Amino acid sequence: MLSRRDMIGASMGFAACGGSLALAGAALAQASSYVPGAVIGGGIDGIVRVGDNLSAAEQIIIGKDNHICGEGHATPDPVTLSDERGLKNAVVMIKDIARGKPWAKRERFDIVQEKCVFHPYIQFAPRSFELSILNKDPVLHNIHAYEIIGRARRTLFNIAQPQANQVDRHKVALTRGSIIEIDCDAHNWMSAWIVTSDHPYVAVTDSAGRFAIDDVPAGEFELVAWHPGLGSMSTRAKVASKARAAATISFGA
Amino acid sequence: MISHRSAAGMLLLASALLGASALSAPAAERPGRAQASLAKGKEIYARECAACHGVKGDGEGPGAHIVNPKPRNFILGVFKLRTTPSGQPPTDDDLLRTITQGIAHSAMPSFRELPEADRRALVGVVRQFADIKTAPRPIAIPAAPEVSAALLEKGKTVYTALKCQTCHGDTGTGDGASSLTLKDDAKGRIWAPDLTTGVFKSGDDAKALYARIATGLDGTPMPSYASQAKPDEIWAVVHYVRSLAKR
Ligand code: HEC
Ligand code: HEC
Repeated sequence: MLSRRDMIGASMGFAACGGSLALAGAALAQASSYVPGAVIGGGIDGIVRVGDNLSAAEQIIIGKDNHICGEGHATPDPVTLSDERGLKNAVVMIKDIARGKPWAKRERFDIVQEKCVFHPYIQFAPRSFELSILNKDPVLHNIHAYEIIGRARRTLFNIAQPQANQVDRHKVALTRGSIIEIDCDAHNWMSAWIVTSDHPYVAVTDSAGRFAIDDVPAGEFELVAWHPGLGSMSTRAKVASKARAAATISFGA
Repeated sequence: MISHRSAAGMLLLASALLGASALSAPAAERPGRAQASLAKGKEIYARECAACHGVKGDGEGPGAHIVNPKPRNFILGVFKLRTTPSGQPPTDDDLLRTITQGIAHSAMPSFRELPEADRRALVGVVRQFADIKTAPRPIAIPAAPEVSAALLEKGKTVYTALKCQTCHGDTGTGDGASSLTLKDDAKGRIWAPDLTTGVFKSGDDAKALYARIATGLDGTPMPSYASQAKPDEIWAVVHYVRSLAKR
């Protein structure tokens, strides 16, 4: 079984095969000044797939607070595939896009801890935002967020929520990396992620592995998919004016 | 304590080194002084600290691999012993205290014998490695209550209500249900310490323990309780924890 650290390491292997990306964090690093313009039309419809030769994801025993958390095993960062091997919960973003559609930046994001699981598991946000944190469980959760910087991770905050229905609001502003990992030290199988972006051209894949990115200006772009258990992989997509382009991003053979 | 003047100088210097802002004319002489102090600090750092914390401040000095916990990697800018909210850099006083006292239960020695000016110069070096450009603000710590049997009893109730036992165990000996699976930022194994030994990283100082519980130890699983516990509850649990050693 691979540990989570190995998984991130493995992602770099993938990236090296792709020939374009070096580090998990650097892969999604963005140019910082986005210039919003008019609505454009057109876009990219795509799918993220995974090849056959995939190692098993790490499983952890649910070894405490079973009356709330349930029994058995949990997989912190599951690689969930459809029958067509479409990958759920991958973040897909256009790399280095400096201008495009209007962007009404969301300023507040939510994360909920319920039955010892974070909801949502993965989401995307601008570089700075406010995170509203709710613990629905009558057990202690400590929400512990890290900024991923290449191979290192650094604590962004670590807040105890010992009682049910406690809410904390925390301002987050990333300075060095672009991916936020969220853990609970009390329940080591709990995991969530926030991928930050400097532009609005981002999507999360559905259970079929599909995604849609709308209002993309005409041009050729690098499209990067990132999944916490697999790392990043990219492809190129060519978008004609007001048309929809198709894209497939494949992890492994 | 660092004077306003030299702290401001250090800030200016930091931004000058980073090319972030042009210096205004009246302030121009201050960086000169701060620069001299920083240069001195770097000399002392090379002699006293680099063996553990590394020449580049990345915690990878030649002696680093033989000690546990590992020397801090200053570049990441994450510090355990702070009076500032979770995720914030430490104040200059926090760093000065650590350098002066050292850290119990670790290889970090006390540098009390160095002249105070030298220890302050070292603070500047650590700040520069960690890229601390702001003047971080400490949390408010209200005056300590009188210790009484009632306060200790309250502290015991608070300890359970705040679920410290999850990691530190019912009696504070470090055997909580989650204690076996704790990891630090580098994903290394870390333990919830036995709170009954009476030895804490920054001594038995009650105010320091208040800060540890209110703001957490960044880089470790020890979380911040400032938002979910009232100051009187934190004080009660501080004195309860201190009393554990005397039983
Ligand atoms: C013998 C090895 C050693 C030497 C020499 C040493 N340190 Fe440390 N230092 C450590 C260790 C180990 C830690 C981490 C302790 C821990 O995590 O509890 C540490 C931690 C620190 C911290 C972090 C405190 C925090 O809040 O996280 C600072 C600041 C620091 N050292 C400064 C210095 C300075 C300045 C010098 C030189 C004057 C120095 N150290 C010399 C081993 C050393
Ligand atoms: C999620 C696990 C967890 C919870 C919950 C937790 N702690 Fe901790 N605590 C730790 C760990 C791990 C450390 C040690 C960090 C290190 O070694 O650097 C620590 C350190 C401490 C220290 C500092 C010891 C020193 O040497 O300075 C004190 C005091 C402390 N905890 C008290 C408490 C109290 C009181 C509570 C409840 C209000 C609590 N802790 C809740 C994990 C936890």
